[in-house]
Amino acid sequence: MNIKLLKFVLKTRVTSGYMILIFIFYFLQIVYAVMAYFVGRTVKSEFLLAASLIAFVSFMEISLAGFNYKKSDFDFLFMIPLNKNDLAKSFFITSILISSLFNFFISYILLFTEHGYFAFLGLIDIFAILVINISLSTILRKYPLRTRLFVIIPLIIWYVIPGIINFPFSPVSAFTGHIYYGTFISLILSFLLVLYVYNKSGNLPSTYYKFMTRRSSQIKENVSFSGMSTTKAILSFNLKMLGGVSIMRMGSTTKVYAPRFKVTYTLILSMGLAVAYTVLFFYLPKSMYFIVEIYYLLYAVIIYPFTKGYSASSTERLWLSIMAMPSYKYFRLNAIGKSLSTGIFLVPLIIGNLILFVIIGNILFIKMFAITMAFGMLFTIIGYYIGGFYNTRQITDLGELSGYARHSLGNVITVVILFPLILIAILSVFLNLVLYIGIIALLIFSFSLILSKKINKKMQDRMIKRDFV
Amino acid sequence: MYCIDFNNIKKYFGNNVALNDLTININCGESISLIGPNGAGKSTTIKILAGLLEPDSGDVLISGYKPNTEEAKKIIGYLPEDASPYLTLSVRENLEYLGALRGIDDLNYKTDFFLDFLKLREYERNKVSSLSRGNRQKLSLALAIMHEPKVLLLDEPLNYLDIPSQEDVIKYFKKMNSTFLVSTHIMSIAERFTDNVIIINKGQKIWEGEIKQLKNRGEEENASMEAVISEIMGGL
Ligand SMILES: Nc1ncnc2c1ncn2[C@@H]1O[C@H](COP(=O)(O)OP(=O)(O)OP(=O)(O)O)[C@@H](O)[C@H]1O
Ligand SMILES: [Mg+2]
Repeated sequence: MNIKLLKFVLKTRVTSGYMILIFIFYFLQIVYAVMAYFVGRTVKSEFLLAASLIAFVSFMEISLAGFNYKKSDFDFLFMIPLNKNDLAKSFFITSILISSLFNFFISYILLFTEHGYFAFLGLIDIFAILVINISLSTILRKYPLRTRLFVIIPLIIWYVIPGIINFPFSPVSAFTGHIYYGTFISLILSFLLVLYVYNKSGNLPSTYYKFMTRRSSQIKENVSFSGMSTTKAILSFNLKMLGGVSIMRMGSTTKVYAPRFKVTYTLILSMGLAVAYTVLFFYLPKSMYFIVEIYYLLYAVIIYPFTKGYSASSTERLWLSIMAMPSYKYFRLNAIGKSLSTGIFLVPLIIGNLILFVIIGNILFIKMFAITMAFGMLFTIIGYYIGGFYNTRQITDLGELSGYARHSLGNVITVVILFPLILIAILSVFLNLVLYIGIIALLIFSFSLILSKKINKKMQDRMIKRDFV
Repeated sequence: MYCIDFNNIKKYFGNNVALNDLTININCGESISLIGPNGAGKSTTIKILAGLLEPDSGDVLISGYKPNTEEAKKIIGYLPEDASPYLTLSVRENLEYLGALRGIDDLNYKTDFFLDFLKLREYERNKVSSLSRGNRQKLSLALAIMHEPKVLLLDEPLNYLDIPSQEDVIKYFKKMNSTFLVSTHIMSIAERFTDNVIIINKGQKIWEGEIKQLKNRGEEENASMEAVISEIMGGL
């Protein structure tokens, strides 16, 4: 093991502030385990939640975490005759450290272990699952997304199964009442995978490189902006090309992969989602309603809309947009356009909730209807501005990253801001008062973002300061 | 009135001084090359003129307007170093989108003109993310000048361009009758663009005059123009 190299790789990917944060989070996890020791108990009804939480985080980790390369790595680092295995190991350990931030977010499942002292065993399980995920991510990264999904999807299903039926043979089983089986499986599996990565991963950077440089070329359908007014052009930029607003990023590597979808695709997707969501409730016991609703809220109403706004700054081109018109006008129109496109995505879900209310008659659905209507679009606006202020990544060229683009405390600020917003949205399911105040507060917040010339100018200055061009 | 009026500008980045009391005045219709070594402050100067950065002290006016105003934006054509258009859009879409943002009248005509002029027609439907560096630079150039700006601020405009394209672009620029400030560190490019040159180093002006003078001095001293410039730069 080449410690110097590891330090170099780590330093070029994370700031020291972020490293400190990782260790704070590790510490907090132990605090969590201690808490779980005293108050933890098995709660069968939470098994599904626990399993799907792990599955979701694992999905993110496997699809993204192994992709910690930068352009400068290919340009310089890999050109140096270093031991390939040392390189691979350094990247692997770095990925584990970076991704261990996720662990904190799933450590609340420690509360569901059978006996208090299992909580500490659970800590090991969580870490072992992380190691499994990162190893797989490392092994799989040379394959295109479609191939990777062939491995990832069955694996995720394997993770979720213990949440649904009594099934001891999964790494996740440790959190669904089978602590010994689960721990055994995750330890063995992580050990085998690490062994594989350590011995076989030497050539991964070069194989991955081939994948990174593959290029897409012609677009299928030209969107014409000719003859449009400024307003109309910005709106149709956002409304005709749904999902394509951001360039795909993989970990901290950028592949300038500029996917674009027609609005109809996302609409079909959200229709499918809405149908599944609606049908589900006809079969779900009433006790499960809230759990499903919280998931629905988190992903469809908060995270997707927020990310859509947030990631917009990665593709922004100030030298074109801000030179063509005042920043407040441009940012404002863009935020509105993106929020409208979120609105289109949410329409089927809004209708689904309405149908559920009419047929099942539970007041919960009218609430979800209101929350979806009110919060979804506002979260895109808020995400757009927070992205402008804090998103450090601007993808300017083939594989190029801005100098600031490391995992840093700055990225964490976003989470800090997002947290109370998520809290408001979730609490509003349970408390009407929060719902009313939340809607008004978010309305005022997002409208002041859109309307204030000062905030828009500040955002422009912030972006320029971070060398956005 | 100067079209580019850049007076006693100071700009700090933290404790580092990027521009130290720099003054550049350019009459309307005139063009000047801004030359200097890496880190001299060329890009910073151009960004301040474009209204993207604000100076710590000093006054800037573009044809009498403050750079960050709408009036100024209408007459400025700004091309940053290593410019990148919208990557998710195709070449044609970029031209049309920016044309719409700028409210250009004869947009269809303009789009077609630039596609042909810069030989981008065959890439019309290609996403920018798949273009070569040179073609991306051509598109960037078109995006910077398609609204026929009166004042052009160009940061290393000929980077990545092949020689015939360089010639075409320079010819086109000369026809535009605009005021130019072109930053470059390649003397031969400066010479093809403009008659006058300002040499800066460490944020200060160290020489101003006609390129001809530099050439003559080089002939007298039996040295290349580059050697003369190096000598001037070494003088600070
Ligand atoms: N965003 C920034 N933050 C901190 N310092 C900066 C920033 N932008 C420029 N500088 C500093 O200001 C000085 C001038 O930089 P500038 O980019 O204007 O140089 P340049 O003449 O364009 O150089 P080059 O020929 O390399 O493009 C340099 O010392 C640079 O490090
Ligand atoms: Mg420069």
